[in-house]
Amino acid sequence: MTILDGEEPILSVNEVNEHIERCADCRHVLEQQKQVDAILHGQSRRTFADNVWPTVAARIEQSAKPNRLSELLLFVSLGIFLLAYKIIEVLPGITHSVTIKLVPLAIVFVFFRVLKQNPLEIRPNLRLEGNTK
Amino acid sequence: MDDLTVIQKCNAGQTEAFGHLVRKYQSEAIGHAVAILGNLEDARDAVQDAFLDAYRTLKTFDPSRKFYPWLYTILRNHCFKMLASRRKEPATGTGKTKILSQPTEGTSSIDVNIVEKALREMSPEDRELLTLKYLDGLHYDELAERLGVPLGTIMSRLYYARGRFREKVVRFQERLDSGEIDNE
Repeated sequence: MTILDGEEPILSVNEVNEHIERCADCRHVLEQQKQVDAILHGQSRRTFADNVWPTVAARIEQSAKPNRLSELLLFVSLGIFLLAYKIIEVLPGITHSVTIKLVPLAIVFVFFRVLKQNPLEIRPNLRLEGNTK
Repeated sequence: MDDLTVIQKCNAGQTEAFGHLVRKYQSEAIGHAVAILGNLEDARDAVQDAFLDAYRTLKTFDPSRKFYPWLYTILRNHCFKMLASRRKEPATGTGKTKILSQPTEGTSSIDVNIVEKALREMSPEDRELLTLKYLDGLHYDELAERLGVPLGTIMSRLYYARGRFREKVVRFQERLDSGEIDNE
């Protein structure tokens, strides 16, 4: 079938033909496979005239809109957490290791990862608008 | 405008440019999704999801590849996910959509309805393989790329799929000849 499919066979064409001549089982199988070939070769795929672009465009636009409320809640929670951390830190009589002091930094890092934003990214495409004098 | 230029425009933030790719490939994509899923309603959903995913991951697209085979990989993932969830829940879109177009005269000795019925009875994997091979005329290496399997697997899967397809055609033809089913 590889030869009939127009592909490169593992054995040479002569070797395949010689075997087919000798082997009745393979000849039978080949005949059956050829029948399928003949049935399907004449068929073509149906074409569809649907236009999915309006829906896809709407969904792209929808997904591009940031969820303002959840972002705001995220910022408020971060603020509360950092404030609580600061209060604990300034409590008298407690000594803190250096690792503990790195906690706010780790939290801010995780926070920007969640937001999928890079606070250090330089955006040359951003322009100041209005009176810049 | 070639696909690569369109992709560059999309990556530069021009969403409208993506519409060009959608309009260019949507018909082909729906045809392929119908061949896997068997109904137009689900096929449309899968195609929309695939285009949306393609848009979101367009930055990862390898420009040395062609766009449609890349999209096809995303599309077939959606289709097979849909089939997996359909096995868990009852199907919503039960309408049967035809895969084949009506034949022009003398193209085949066998009735197109028999072929359609036989294809519909095949597993989605066999149906996908046979339609890509015969309706799209893809070569073994292209089939291997589209389905993400080695060349040898394509050859063996084609062999078995042809055998199963033939059995179904013979069975339908016998039932049709005996009047057990009508030619609809």
